[in-house]
Amino acid sequence: MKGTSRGYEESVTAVFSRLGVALEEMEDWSCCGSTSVIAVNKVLAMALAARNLALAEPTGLQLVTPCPSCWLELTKANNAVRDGGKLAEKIKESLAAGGLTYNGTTVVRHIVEFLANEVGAETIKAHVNNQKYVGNSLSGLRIAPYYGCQIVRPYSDTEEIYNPQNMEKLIEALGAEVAQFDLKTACCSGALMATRKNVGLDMSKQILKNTKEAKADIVVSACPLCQLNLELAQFGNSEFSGKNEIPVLSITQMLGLAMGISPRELGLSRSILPGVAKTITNMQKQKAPATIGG
Amino acid sequence: MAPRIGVYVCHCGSNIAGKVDVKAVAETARNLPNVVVSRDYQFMCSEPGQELIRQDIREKDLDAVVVAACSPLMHEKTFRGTCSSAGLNHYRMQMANIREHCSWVTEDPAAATEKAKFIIAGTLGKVRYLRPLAEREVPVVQSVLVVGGGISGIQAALQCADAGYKVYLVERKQSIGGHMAMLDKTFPTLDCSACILTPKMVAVGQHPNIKLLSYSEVEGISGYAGNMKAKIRHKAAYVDFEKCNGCGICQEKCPAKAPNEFEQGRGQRKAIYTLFPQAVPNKPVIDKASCTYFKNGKCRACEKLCKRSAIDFEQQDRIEEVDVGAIILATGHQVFDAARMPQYGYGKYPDVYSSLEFERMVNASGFSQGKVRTSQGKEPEAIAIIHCTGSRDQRYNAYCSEVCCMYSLKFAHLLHEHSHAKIYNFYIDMRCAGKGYEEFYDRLLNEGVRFVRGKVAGVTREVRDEAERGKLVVQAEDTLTGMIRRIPVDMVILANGLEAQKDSGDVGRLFGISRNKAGFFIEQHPKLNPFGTSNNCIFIAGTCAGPKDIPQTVSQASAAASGAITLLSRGTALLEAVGAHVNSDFCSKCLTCVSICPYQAISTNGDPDAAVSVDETLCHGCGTCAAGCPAGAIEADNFNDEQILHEIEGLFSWTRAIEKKAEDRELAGAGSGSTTT
Amino acid sequence: MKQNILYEGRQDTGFLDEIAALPEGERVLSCLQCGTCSATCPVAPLLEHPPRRIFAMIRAGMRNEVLGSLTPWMCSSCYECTVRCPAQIKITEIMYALKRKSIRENMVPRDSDTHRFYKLFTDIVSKYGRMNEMMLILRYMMFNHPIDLAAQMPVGIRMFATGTMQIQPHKVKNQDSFNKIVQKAVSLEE
Repeated sequence: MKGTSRGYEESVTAVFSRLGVALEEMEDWSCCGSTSVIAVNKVLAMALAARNLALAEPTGLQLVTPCPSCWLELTKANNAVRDGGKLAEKIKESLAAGGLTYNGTTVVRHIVEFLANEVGAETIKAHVNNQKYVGNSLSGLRIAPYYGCQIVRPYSDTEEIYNPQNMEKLIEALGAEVAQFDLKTACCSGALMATRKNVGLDMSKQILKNTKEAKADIVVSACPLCQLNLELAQFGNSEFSGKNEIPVLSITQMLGLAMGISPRELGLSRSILPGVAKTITNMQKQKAPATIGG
Repeated sequence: MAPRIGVYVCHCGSNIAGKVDVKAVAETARNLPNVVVSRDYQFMCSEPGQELIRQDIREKDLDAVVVAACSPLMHEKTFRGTCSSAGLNHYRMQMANIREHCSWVTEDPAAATEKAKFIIAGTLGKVRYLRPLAEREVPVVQSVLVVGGGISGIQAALQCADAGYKVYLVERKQSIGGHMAMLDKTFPTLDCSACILTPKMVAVGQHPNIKLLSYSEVEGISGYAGNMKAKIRHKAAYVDFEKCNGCGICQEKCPAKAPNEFEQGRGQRKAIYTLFPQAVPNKPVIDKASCTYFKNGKCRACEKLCKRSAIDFEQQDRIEEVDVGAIILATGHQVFDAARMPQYGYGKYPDVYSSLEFERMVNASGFSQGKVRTSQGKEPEAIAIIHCTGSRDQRYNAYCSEVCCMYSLKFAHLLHEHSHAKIYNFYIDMRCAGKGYEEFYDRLLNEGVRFVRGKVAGVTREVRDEAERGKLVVQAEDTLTGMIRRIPVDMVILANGLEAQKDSGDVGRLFGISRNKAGFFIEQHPKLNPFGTSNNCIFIAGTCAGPKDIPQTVSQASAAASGAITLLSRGTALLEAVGAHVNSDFCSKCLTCVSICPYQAISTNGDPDAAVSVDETLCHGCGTCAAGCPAGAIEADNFNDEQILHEIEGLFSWTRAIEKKAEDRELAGAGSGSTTT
Repeated sequence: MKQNILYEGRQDTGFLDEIAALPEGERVLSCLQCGTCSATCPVAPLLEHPPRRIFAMIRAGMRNEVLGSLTPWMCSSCYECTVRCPAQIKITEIMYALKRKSIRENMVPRDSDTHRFYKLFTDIVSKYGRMNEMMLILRYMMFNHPIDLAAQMPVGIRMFATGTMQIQPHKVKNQDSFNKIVQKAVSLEE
């Protein structure tokens, strides 16, 4: 998140501090391996993920991940250790080689679920209504909640898998309209955007088209890679320029805007789509002119 | 006088003899105390095998027998019969299980042989102390209780009634008919379901031997084999069935409406209503929740209009107790709720229908008067039928519901008759195993139905091709061509699977019948007694025992009826001879046994100072009270402390004998330095 | 002419058992070949062997065709198949296992370089403990898609401009402990 999702990280820091949630960046975290390492070496993938769980355990704090892939890999490693068996032994042996132990007690949560359940819609609504700088209100805007894959599958119950509602709760708490669309849990193609670009572009474009049909102004994404892919699908693509451009925000960028934090603080300028902040301001002017100017 | 025991070791073909050295076992037994004769034989349960036992009993004056063979669940009855036919009390015979407990579960032959010897030694220890017991015969009440008025309950009731027995048929809805009454046509003959069902319904309503208790439920069962008392609650209908003549004017004029459950919620009914036009009994009931009078004290139109003054808003539930000798459970099934599979859109898209909803749509007296129309009232151009909805699925019901392929074909045929739509059936396998079923499939192939072999992944509104705009799109892999297919349709019909009723657990507990993992009642033997249960006076029939089609249901119902009739015509039932006995000197009246007895057979008889006593007729000899009594005041026949301790002593004595033999061998070997004897 | 015939003596009849013996393969023997996985897979229409067919091929002992198939490399791990499979087979995890087997046995299809991407990623993470996207993309593209690299320049430039392209790789602090963990884990892979 120091790289392509730098904007996401900036917004997480800004929003969480405003919400009053003490966020401690985990000391010496390492890459979880995502969907790449497990394609090459399973024990390594689980050990990399488990390393973070082991480092977090002594703090006794909950581990909140902004990235769905991290959440999934950490959860897989957690389950492996808790289930016991050969894989658990190998993971523990690997960690021990580096002087670490892990007993399976770390709780891993994804940021969307954390915001919706732990922080809660009511708290967020209060912050939105309380803010001094009204200029960034999202009311009147139609926002499409795009979940992607890894936070709803495979570790969710049936309702969550087919019709998750956590992002809708947050969108409504901000006073915006939910633009419900069929492909809200469809795959953006993930890493295929790098290895099979044409396939990746097709998959991401389809999702954007579907949000357009639902008359969405903005797409909010739960995953930094999804956010990047949906932007890449628009970058330099005449189909999605001008009025057809759909800004893609991360969940905390969306929250931050509604809470009155400045676009710069939220890293909106980090998007590969130029002028996202301006696009959104224009939308706000069109939809809710009375609230601009504070 | 010293006991005279015969030991019989069965080879069971190679089942036992293939692992255990049966000759050596028999030889060992011969040398154990009080054993007068010890034999081994190929199949002890065969006629010549049994004759060996009988002969020995007579000629050698045996007073106890040990049969070392299979599990008592298989042949205890056989060998008890053998003994009693030769004049020996059948409770002086004990089986030693050297098959399921020994040869089938031990890998090493030497270890298996030793174990068999142990088991027999233990059994010998106990058999000496077994008491001769006798079953009691009790008369069987000459009436049958049938629970459930669907086709299986109707068939069972008619069969018993025609045989001359009195039948109480209890049905919780206000009319009999069950699910079959909701169907339009039945496969493969395409008979009109109501047309073939109603004659039987009318026969039930008019039969002199059948007392039809509709709008009623069984609340409690008490008593013992062949003498059961059923407590039945007649729910308040607010209509006096004696006075009502079924003219229907109350229903016509009632102003209050509610969703019609018979029409699966797709149509409306009145607050006072009959279930369907051919209902038996054709008497209406008032639904309190939707009745204007019950809700806010107004109206009472039905009361005013009824020429027979049959409306009675003050009516209360009424309890009735009946005595019966046999019970047949025919409580039916429920249909899988497709809302549990959100990917199919049931409940989300109005044009996704469950199987029963479609039956009602296509039925001439249903909510659509038999016209196939979308929720927008249009004629559909294309229709998808999705097989295996909720069945063959580890997440919902792992089993196959048996009837869905056939009724999905039936739907395809009905749609072919009622509409010009293109029809697509999406299936995994086509299961057409009954008489005329495969031919029915061929008929549908020739009616131009488009079959796609692939389970549907989901129903969506997302448009990827212009032809899909405004339609429901069904996506499946056509596994036979290997292509992914997206098919736009106007209507989707799901083939919901069959499940056990929601309250089958409560019903099972009420009657003491076990259920399998899926919730269906368990039969006494899946192959040889699919209609009996572990209780020899309670039978099961129809879909409450598992999904099945109508011919199987009717057959099973008649089988259950024959079970009941056999019991009643014999006139007597045998009560378990094994029972529990209380030693009043030790009873401290803690009443632990009273609360743990599963048959409520123990009581204080109202006298707080007296010891508890066991009702012999209710007692099943399970031994729970004996195990639970903290003072050891209760004994269960043939499992009392003395008998069990002697069984254990038998095992130890064998151990000691082996050890002594080993010692002797050592001494002999060490002493003489030559080969041992 | 190529003939579509399998001679049983030439197939790996133990292949299904091999997959079933994997921890991921626990329910693979219960596959009904219903086709739900293929129907819901977002890339299935592009595949010569959609997921269901891969399992049919595993059953038929077509080891070479399966390990040499493009299918596992096109899997984006969306898990749709896994949640919809009525036999509850861990399809996505099996795809990962096929990826690993295919790399290990040098059977990766010639028209795919996705494995190089994954290997590069793994190498970078194993060395630094953290990902460096610029390093990953540059190295991957330079060796595999040099022409495309030029076409991606506008994106690259934009990323530099927005500060989302880090040049210096960040490293994990406890390098020594980290390296030992990596070494051990790699040695324990079966």
